[in-house]
Amino acid sequence: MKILVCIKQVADLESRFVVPAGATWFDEADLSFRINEYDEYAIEEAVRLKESLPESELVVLTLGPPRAAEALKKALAMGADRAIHLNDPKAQDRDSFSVAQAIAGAVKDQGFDLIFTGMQSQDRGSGQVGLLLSELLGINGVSCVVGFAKTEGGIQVERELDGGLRAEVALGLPALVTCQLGLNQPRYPTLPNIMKAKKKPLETIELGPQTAPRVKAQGLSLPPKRGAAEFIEGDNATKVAKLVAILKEKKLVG
Amino acid sequence: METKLLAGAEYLIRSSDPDSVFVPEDFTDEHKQIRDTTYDFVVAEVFPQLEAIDHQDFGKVKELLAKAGELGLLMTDTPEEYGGLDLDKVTSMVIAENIARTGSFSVSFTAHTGIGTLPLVYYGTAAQKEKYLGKLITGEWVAAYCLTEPGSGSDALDVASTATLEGDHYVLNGTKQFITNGGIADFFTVFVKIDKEQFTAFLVERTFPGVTIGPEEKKLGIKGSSTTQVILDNVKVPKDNLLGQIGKGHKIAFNILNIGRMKLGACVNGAAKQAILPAIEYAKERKQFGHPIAHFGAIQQKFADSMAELYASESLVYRLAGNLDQCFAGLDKKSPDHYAQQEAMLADYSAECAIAKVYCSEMLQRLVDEVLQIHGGYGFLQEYPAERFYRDERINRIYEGTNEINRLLVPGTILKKALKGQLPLQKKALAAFEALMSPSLESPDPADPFGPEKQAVENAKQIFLILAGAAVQKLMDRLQNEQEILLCAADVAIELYAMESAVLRAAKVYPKASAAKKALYKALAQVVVFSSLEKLGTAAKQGAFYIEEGDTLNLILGGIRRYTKYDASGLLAAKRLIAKETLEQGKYPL
Repeated sequence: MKILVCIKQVADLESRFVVPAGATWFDEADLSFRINEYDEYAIEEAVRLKESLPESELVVLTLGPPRAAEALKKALAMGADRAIHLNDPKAQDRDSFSVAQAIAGAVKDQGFDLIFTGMQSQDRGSGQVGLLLSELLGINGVSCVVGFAKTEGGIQVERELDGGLRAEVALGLPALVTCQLGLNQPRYPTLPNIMKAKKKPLETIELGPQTAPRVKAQGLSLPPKRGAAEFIEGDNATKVAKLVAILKEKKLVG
Repeated sequence: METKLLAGAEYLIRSSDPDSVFVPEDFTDEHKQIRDTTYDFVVAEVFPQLEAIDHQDFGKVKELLAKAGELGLLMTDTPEEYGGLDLDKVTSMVIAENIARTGSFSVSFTAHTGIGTLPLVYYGTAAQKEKYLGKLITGEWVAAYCLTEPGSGSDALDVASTATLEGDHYVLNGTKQFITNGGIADFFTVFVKIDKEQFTAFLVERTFPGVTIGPEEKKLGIKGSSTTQVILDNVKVPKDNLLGQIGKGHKIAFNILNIGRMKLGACVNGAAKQAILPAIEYAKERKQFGHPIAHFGAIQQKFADSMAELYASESLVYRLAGNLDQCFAGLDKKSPDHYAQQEAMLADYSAECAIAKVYCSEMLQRLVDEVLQIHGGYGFLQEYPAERFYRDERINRIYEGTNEINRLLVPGTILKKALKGQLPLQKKALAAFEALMSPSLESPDPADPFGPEKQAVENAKQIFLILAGAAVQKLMDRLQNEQEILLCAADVAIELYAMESAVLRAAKVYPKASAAKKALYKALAQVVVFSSLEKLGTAAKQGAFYIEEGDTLNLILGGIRRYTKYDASGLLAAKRLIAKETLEQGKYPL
């Protein structure tokens, strides 16, 4: 079986973001980058599947600037066999459709049976690339997956729906699934695998500039600051006592 | 400036090109991934068990060591033919630093991978490695190193434990003291004297009849690590378990300590990075006089000074590790005497290894003190983490050779190298004295952003040469017994190496850094140079008064005054910038 997992490298969410005046993306200087958290679940699920199926191949792909190669190396260390880097120094300017289109162009002839992606990216959060990719490839697609199993001739997945409902879906292959947090417990790469990954093939494909964007960012700004909230815990008597103490401390009651 | 690799102690007499030193900013993708794996392991697996470990749940410790083994964290210094990875020393430092965030657990971890396993790696026969290494790198077995005895500590070779050959066995007797991992180890490297004369190491299994483990010592800190006596009562050890050569145990004991001392530097850096976190959090939350205390200069300065010293510490350890890696890279790993060659190189850098041990452990001493102080009265309570960091720190200035022994090693090694003709110390010292007679010509390069700092480093080298030169000339052979003077020389050499490492790193990274980072590196270098220069100036002055009198004394004192001049304009702004970055980022700001 040929398996593909599509990942994105995103800025660490704990970074201090600075948006230069008039810019539509944050300043990337001095930020640290990591694999999009949703994608780590996608990689883990793909690696587990690969490990359970001898003769299968797992390819990891990213579309991103040169720094994104680092994310591919981690995926290789987690267990992918080879990597494809669609290199675009201006990747942050692409809209979801253009990203999906570029990936589809690169993989459509490679005959992947199963494609894993994260449900969304932590930076853009559009949640569109995975499903757009399945449409462009003309294969089954299912989003927000919290349970996954390979079955005879297909896959069986559990989707998370609104209000805590779960849906069970059976799909034929080829198919694409987008992975929700908590699907599994992503491994940390072992040291031997980190060193082995150095020898695995990493192919870089230079992308031309995006043509005719469908969506264009007009501006980017930090959300307005809000006050902090405190959650009072305990039984009712404790809660009341704590609340009164806080009100007194803030001099809101006499 | 030359780019040739710096030999041991050569930093005292030669300037280095910033591009020739290894800095943490040079980490490869693999270094970073290994750092992340280690850190993730620490946070996800070890942190939740810290409380249990501190209450001596050694089952947990062994379990975690085995998990670390699964991840490959125990195999980085082991040759590939025995299942190891044989990675560079920088990698070992990266792992040590991150594991050290866990306090007691890191003591067990480091004793196992370092002094526990390395003697076998460096000196074991193929059969010994075949037999034991596999078990050690998976964490199936835990290792310990038994050198110290109740009556033999700093004078490590003066052991009372003995071995006597009886047929195809040696019979070992004696008591080993303060054995880290004693209570949990399966495998001991034990130093004894054969026939009360030949200092020799043996590999001893816990299950050999006659091996008994004493009760757990009740300690001030690192309470969650096992420390016991190991008692050998007529233990029959097969001849095949003799490690290295008969009578050559001192080489094993001392060379393994070289790596251990450098690694201790990495460990305390990691501990410092962890210990500062609750202090930052507390300073931001604790309000007095209507402001979080982080708002006040008195508190900010504590962060600034601590982070600058940590920066110097970190620069020093990675510079040294990188230096060793560059040396080792030239060796043929397949050569049968590969480890003998490594050993010789390590010995060449034993002054630097001792410097790492002393400088970094004393950095942590001051840092945990400030961490506790920032917490005020709450820092004194066991409920707050500052108290544990404070207690756990103390041992670092005692084990792996007390800081006194390590300080004495620094000038001791340097003088030995000079005597052997490996270091033209006397020639350089003479030139330094001659320079004192001529007017001052040194002036920093105005075009270099680190001109004043680089000049200060070069000046500090002159101070060392003047002091060492005066000491040798006046005292000659008697110098080795004048410990007070040797300690002064050590302090100059130590501060010099730290400040030079800090400046070289900043100068190397500066051209490619963002504007914000440029300002931070400049501030860090400035604070380090100012403080190190003051400290080494004081040490040199003290040394001068110990050694000389009259005109020569005045000449030396004049030299020290001249060479400790450093224009630290903007020092306050530099400290405030470091504090601001630390508080905003909520951690060590690099």
